[in-house]
Amino acid sequence: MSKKAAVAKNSEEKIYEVGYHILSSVSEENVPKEVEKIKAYLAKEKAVIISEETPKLRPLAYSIKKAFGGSYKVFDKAYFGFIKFELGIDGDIINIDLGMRNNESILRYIVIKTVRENTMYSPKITVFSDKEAKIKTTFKEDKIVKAEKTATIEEIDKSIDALVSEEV
Amino acid sequence: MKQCFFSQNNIKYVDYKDVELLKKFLNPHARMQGKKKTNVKARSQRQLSEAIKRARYMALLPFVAR
Repeated sequence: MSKKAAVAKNSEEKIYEVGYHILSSVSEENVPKEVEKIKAYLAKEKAVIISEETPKLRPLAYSIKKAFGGSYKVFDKAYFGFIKFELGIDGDIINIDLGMRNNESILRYIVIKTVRENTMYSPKITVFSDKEAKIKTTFKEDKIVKAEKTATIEEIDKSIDALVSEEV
Repeated sequence: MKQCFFSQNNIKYVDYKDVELLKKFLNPHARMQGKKKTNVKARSQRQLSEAIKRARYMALLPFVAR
């Protein structure tokens, strides 16, 4: 590695994120213990945690099989969680990766480089607001139509009354 | 002309965990849409494809669907 590249690497922020699936066979009470194990790998490398999400049981998009001493087990659900953290100059991401790989109760994991800011965009809110807006507008249209209809009925009644009074 | 979704919503980083967002750019067979269809700027399209592939690996999104 050239000197320039080394300087650039040091000056850059080393922000990573670990996403993981904990086996669904782990009972819900023991899930925090597994999270503590993962945090221990981070603590060894002196990582500073920026944000995290506690693992929640969720269905997988496809079934994943994992080998247990010569036989496979198939999983359709897993506890998904993630931890975002910052590594110092002496921290090495490879050791964290190795720790995750050797952990028996982790079904699958991913280590990615990311940014400090919150990267989640919540489309649900905008989608709902759009729908609400549409519903409101359609309601208004209905009301207008109904109002017109009632007005016409009243007009007819009035005209009938007028006709009757004229006849009398 | 349709504008880039990510520029409009000021999204600078496409996250693989944001499944609801990623699903917008998949067809019913769970395949990625091309840049002509998504109308997303080149940089975002690259980020999007990376995010979708990560989400697939983590079983948040399917590789194939009916």
